Amino acid sequence: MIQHTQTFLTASIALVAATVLTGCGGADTTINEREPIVEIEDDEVAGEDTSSGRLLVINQEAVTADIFDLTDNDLLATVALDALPSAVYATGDYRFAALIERDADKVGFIDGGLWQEPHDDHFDTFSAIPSLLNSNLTGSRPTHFVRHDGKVAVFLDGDAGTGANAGIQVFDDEMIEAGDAPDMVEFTMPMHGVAEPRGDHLISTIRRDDSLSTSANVILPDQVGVYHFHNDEYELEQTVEVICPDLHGAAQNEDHVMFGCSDGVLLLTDNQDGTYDAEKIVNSDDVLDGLRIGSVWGHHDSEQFIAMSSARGSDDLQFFAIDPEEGEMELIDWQPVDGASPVVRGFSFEAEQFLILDSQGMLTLIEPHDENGHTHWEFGERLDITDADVATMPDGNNFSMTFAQNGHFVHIADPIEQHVITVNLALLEIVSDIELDYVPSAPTWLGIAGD
Amino acid sequence: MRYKKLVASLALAAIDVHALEGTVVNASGQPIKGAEISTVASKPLATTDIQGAFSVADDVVELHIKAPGYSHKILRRDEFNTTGGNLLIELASTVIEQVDVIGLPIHASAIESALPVAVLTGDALREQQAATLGDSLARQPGVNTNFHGNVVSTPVIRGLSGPRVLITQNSLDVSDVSRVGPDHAVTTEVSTVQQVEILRGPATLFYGSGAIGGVVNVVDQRVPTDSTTRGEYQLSHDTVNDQNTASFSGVTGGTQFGLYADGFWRQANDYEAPEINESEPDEGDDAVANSDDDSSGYTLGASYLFDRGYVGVSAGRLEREYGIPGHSHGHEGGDERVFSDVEQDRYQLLSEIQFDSTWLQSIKTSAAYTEYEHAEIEEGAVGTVFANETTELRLDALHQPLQGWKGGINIHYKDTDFSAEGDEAFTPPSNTETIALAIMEEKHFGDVLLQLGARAEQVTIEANQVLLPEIEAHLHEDDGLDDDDDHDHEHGESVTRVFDVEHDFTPISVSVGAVWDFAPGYNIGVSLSRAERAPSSAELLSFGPHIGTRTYEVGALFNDNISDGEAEFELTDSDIELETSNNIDLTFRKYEGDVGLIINLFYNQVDDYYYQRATGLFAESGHDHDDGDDHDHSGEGDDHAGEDEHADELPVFITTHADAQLYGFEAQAIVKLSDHWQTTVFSDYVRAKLDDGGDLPRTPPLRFGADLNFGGDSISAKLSWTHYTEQDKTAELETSTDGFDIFDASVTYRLPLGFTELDLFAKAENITDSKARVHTSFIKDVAPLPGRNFSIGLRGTF
Repeated sequence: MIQHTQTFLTASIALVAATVLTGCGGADTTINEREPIVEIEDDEVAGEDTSSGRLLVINQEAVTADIFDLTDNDLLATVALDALPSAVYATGDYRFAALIERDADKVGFIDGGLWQEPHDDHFDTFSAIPSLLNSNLTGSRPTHFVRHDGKVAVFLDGDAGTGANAGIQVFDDEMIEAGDAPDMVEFTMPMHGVAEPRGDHLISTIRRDDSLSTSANVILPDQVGVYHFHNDEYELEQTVEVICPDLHGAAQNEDHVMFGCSDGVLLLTDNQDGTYDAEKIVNSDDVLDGLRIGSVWGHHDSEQFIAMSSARGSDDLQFFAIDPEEGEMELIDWQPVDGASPVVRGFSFEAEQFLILDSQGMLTLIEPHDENGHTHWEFGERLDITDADVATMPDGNNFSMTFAQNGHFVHIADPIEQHVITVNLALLEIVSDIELDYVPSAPTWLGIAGD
Repeated sequence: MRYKKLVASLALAAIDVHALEGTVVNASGQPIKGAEISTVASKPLATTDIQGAFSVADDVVELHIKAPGYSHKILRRDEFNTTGGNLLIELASTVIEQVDVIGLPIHASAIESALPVAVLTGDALREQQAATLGDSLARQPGVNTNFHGNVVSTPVIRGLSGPRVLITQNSLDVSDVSRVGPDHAVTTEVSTVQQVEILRGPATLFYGSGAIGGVVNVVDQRVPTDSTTRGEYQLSHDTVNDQNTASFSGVTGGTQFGLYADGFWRQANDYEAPEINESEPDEGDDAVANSDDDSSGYTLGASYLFDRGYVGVSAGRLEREYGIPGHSHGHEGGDERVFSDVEQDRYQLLSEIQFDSTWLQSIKTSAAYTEYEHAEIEEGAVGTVFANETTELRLDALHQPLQGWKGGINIHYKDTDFSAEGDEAFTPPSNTETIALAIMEEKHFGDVLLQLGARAEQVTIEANQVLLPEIEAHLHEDDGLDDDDDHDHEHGESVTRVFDVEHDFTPISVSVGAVWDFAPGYNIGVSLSRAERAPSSAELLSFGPHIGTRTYEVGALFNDNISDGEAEFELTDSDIELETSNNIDLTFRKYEGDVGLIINLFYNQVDDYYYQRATGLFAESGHDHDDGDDHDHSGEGDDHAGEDEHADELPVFITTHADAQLYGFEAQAIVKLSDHWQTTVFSDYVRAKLDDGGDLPRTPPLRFGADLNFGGDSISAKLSWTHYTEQDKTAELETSTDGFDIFDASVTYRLPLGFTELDLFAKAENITDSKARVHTSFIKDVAPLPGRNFSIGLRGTF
């Protein structure tokens, strides 16, 4: 099997050279050279792509996105944006960056310019200069963006003010490239919901009629349904009877899908036959009064989910490990420093750690430990990622982080020091940084994900 | 025929005062019934009755008289010799069937043209028809087939094929991708057509750049020109490939409208042939893998008929799923399924309207929109998808005869979008737009008919994704074993350059011809032409492995730069020129009496002839299979066959241009031995070589043959023999081909069933089970001609 890695293009874009080969005898030929396609083949490393990937960073002041080659941290391209996105996510196969413009009801895309295509028994790797795509997705209030196994489900919350109802748009990178319309689910009322794409299935929140809803805030759904895609449309095949009041937050792993509820978490178990069993894991006694689980993280390499309980207006905040097989929540003592408030959380590559980056510039590693067949998630190590005084954080900014998908690295944007650092999680060291002359935000890793 | 009667009666009604009455008789003075009387216009004005009598308006400039079994006669007004108010016309018997060539703007029969034309129609067509067009025409003088394993074939005219031979359906481009690859089907179906016309030699005047080597025009009645109810159907079975075929076509209608429908269905398994693999002789008959076929299609048409002509539309669909023989890479077990899935929708609008104006005689309009797509499927996965979308419009406007000059102009527009996507997309997507204006005139000077023509064309080829990949092409001279054949990819950067290319060509064609009727029943034709051709997008822009030809094809836009056994490809510095053919054709015809003779001599000097030059390089096909079989090309016959270490490599051919000459002859003699017996002998030959030395590839060998026909009242029979000589004039990397003989026999029994005719027929082909490899075939080494075949069937007409 041939393995490929990629290189990057030189910064020269679309050299135009006109060559007139002949001007006589009624035959004229005009040739304009266009941007070449670069492909690199590598027979040396088997089973692993050696590409470092690319990093997108938003420059809020200039309203541009810079894309860097992480092999040598060189700037590949600066892409002018129509507007500042409210959030930036990598798409299903990490080729594109999705620019969520929630208030403008639109999602734009930047092609990171690094992707693979299947070719016989191997994948060919392609490399191109990053560029802004002409095509956008439109829909009312795109909010939760869930990526799973190559697919993305964007939840459109809808807007009671304009009469727009909620919906879901599901797509993959091929559809983005082709400019195809996403697959859709449409609801009959607005909802602050979330949907998890899962092969041909889509597990989505369902908002019931207000008279039936158990949610304190009825814009939040309290039910979940399983949609199945066939004949080019999604059909609701199963409505889960277990109710999940004030549903917020969702995640999935190999066998389970989990939603956060005000009274615990709703756990769906995949029967592998298109049906799901549902159960409620109620809040343990460790959940502080007034808090509820509103965010959940899962990873296909981890059997446990990590959930965060919090409450609007409260500084209190807890993390729990939830093992679906055991049906229990276990409080994680993440040992926060004073004044620390988590800003980015998530599983690292291959779920070797759960990372918490906080407002004090601390990167905390929560690590799994096996004990008599039970996996505890415990405080592991911590790295102070900035020398600066966090009190000097520019208004409206904070640290932000993106997870490399092909190695044990994270990239953290530091608005105070105006750089993006790369942290090697195995060494827990800063291994490189990209110096910038602007306040960076929304770093997003793009490229070819490892297995 | 209602339409004809209608026209005739209207003509009679209009010329009560000035009627020209006449009688048509044979040499012994016997009246001929059913002779068609027409004028310069194509429509018959009258048909003779049982007394041989007819009546037409007395304002005609000339009369064309034709009847089956008799020589076509043209009488000009100054030759009208009326005695007692009656014009007596004597027709000479002939053994050469004279059918109007519908594809020529000025209607004429095959013997009246300065350009060599042949028409295959009627029983001869039905007898010769095969599953593919090339095989159907393979025994026509000057025409060979590029036989591609029984499933695909295209005619080779005087050694030329591909982008030089245009295939048309009712004079409109057949719009497939058969000009791009020999494994791509020609999307016509012979079993439902009325006639097939073959123009040998440059026919660019009428058809444009793609016809520099000739034209095959397939004519059917999809837009009916009359509404006489008639039809034809056929069922047959062949043993060599278990082929079953069913087809029908029919016309009906009312006084002012005509309706047409045809349909066919064909299913065939792999065909058997002796000693398929040369490296394994004496293995007996075996089946050629991937030579199966499953095809069907239908056409519907309707036309509005009126006094002065017709206008009609048709829609047709063709679906084919056929194996691609020679594509498999010699996999053990040989059961790898490789096939092509073809779909084509064709819409045509045809019209011909006569005018009474003082200057305009008629306008013939032909328009078509065609969508074609075929997917090549290997091991269940789509490998490559080829598509062609063509829009075409032809207008032929003929003026009224002017001081004896007949003729008119032709305006022609064609727009073709071609694309190929996938593993074997060796040529990039392109758009080719052609717009042309042509003028054709002819006049009789005594016994000499002078024909003149000129055409100017504007051809634009646009392609914005022309790729120049870096490929590891190398020479095999040192056996390639030290050429880093592990293909040193380590951290190698492969850059594919991308170009936006636009070619503009203005080919001009001029032609002068003369036909001299130097004695009754004899003529000599001379045709001189200078024709220019714009190279096709595939010839210019290709870059990639073409499994159908088992070559790595590089277009003329590129150049190979070889140093130290490795090659680098770059944009060529050479001019992209028009190909120019300077052709002279001499034709001698004896067409009356019991002996018919047609001899053609031709000499064609082609400047800047585009051809594929072997570079001596080899490149990876990039064509991998997942099943881990060893790829073994042994027996596939190219010169590196058996070199397993290069098994997945293809020889690199680059399209280049150089001066070439092609010359040769076609000869055919038909002798009526008695009332029931007739024999035909024929021979043809072409020599095709480059001026600077070297032979052109896949040139047919010298060929001769003979037929013996018996025609009884209810039984007819035919015995045929064809001898192909050895071809040892070969191009680089091409191997010579042994000669062979083919014997065929057929017998037909006609059941007398009143108003309808029903023939039962039996055929035996390749009776001696001859080992026959076709030199003009790209896959002669893996797909010889079918072995002995018996077929039976029935054919009915009403």
